[in-house]
Amino acid sequence: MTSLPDWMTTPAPLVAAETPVGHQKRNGVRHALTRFMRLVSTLLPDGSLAEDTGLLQHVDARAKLLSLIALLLAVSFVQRLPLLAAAYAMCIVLALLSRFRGKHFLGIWFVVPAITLLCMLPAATNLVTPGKPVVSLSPSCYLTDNGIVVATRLVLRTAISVAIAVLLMATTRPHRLFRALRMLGVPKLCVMLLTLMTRYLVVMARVAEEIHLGKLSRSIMPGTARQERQWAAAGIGMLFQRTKIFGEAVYLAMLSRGYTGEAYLLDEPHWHWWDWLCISIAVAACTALLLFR
Amino acid sequence: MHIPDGYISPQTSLAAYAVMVPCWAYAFARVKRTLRLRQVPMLALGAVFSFLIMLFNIPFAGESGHAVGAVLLAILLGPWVAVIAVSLALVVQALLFADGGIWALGANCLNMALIMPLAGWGVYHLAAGGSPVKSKRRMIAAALGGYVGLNLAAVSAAVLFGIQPVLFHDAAGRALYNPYSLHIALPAMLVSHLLLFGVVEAVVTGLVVAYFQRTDPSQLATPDWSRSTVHLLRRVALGLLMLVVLSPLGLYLPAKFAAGSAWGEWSAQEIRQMVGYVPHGMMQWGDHWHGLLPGYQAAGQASAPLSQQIIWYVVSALVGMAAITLVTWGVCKLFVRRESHDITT
Repeated sequence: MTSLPDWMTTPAPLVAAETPVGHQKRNGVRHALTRFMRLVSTLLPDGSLAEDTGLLQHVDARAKLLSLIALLLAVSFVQRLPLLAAAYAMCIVLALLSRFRGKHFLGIWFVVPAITLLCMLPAATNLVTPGKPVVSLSPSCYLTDNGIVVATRLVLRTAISVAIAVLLMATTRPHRLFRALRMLGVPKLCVMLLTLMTRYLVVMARVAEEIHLGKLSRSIMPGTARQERQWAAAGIGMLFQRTKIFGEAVYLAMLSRGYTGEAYLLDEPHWHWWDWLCISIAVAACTALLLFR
Repeated sequence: MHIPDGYISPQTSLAAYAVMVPCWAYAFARVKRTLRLRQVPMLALGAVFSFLIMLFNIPFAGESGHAVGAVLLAILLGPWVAVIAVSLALVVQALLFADGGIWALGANCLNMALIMPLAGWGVYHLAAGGSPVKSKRRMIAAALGGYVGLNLAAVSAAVLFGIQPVLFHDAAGRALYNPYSLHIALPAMLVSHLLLFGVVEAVVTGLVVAYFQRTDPSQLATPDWSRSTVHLLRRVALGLLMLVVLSPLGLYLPAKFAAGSAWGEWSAQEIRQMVGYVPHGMMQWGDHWHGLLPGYQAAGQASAPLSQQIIWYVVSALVGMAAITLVTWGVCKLFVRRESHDITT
């Protein structure tokens, strides 16, 4: 009778000896998968986009779009720091009155200005913006008065821009936003493309998620960097092929429902007195910002 | 490379929109001719693909990066489809995810939806030439196209940032928008893109093209360009470049042999030396028009050293070539009719 080889009888460790217990190696596939799952959860309605009782939710999407974009433009001309601070405070008040929730939105509200602040720190020093020294960082490097003004101005402006974008995003469903764009004169084809894109973004994100899950579920350990790169490229290629096949299927489905190249948008909204009030307040705010900039 | 609002002035944003609007109109007109009725779902899903590429993780040099994928899209679907698809992806990112500014959308589209796919696609076709679809040269050409496209987009973004403190400042001279001028913005953007992001883009573009070469080469077929057209254009472009490089001989040789000006091209001073006086008509009209680059030199640089003159001579050659190409293209567009395609079915 043949005896078993040694490697079958000697138990092998399940985890490599040099791997610390409890530590997981960074896994790019897992990271990408998390991103896809977060994207899907952001796009699918979960109640964090308030449909109910917030202030801005009641305002027509057209009025919101016009008002907020006009405010964005007006803010970009403002130079005075107190006025910028007041504009930012106004955004916070609007956010509180609109009662929107969602960690995703709050994350964007704070992360982008924080990154801007980091990028602008060198601009606040004498190395970029000359001026009177305010805070000494090293014998030859100090924060200057002009530098602090320049950096603060840019951080505030970026914070306000992000806040306005988040206010628009968090209080308006995508289909209403795109319908508002159409009613404000954006070509029909563009609006249709945006609508289709948003609709199928969830579907294709799930396909990408499945591609990553398939890889993870069949891997017992990460491959080499070269293998992972080749897999990622194959994943992108596979996603493109699935996108093309899906595009054909969508086109045939549209044909079967009578599509002849024309697009029709349903449910025309009506203007209410509070929409005009919102626009009037926005115009007044823009005028004030430009007069006292 | 997404520019948030506040970093560039509204004037710069509007100028970027002014460039992009006709480009979008042209892209839609071009796409209508090829995709026809299928254009709407295919364009929308192309935009979805463009959006999702940016979420794939690519391990590189111990870290991981993300690709933009604009050049890849141009290779797979055509350059003008890529312009529209990437523009749509950027619009959705700005409106639904606050990634990139709303007023800065024109600038973002200029960098990533126009310059990157068109430049990358052009480099890809120049480098690939008429090589077979499954050849290694195609894969390398795709990687090179991705690398060059992304870096040109980075240069464009850096220029947009860098001109802000020069053009827009308050009464005290402080920058109103991005405070980093060109000598900071250009190296900051270029170093990271040349050494890291460009390489990631090149790797992704090359590897995906290699994937299609193995699995489905029909995806890489280019219906708009025949091989002979690509060959011809490549030879013409190389020939013109050689002429530009050799053009300074026109400065060096006359200087070396003390040839003087060509017959009939004398200046007023040379006329005075030859005949003793300057005719009245020549005095009145001789200096009427100076041009952008008088004498193929920068204004006021006629007596600069020969090495500087040679540089301006080459610049003049490039400017002249670009002007002639633009005018010829405009005339062709106005007066040359193409066969019309049925776009209703």
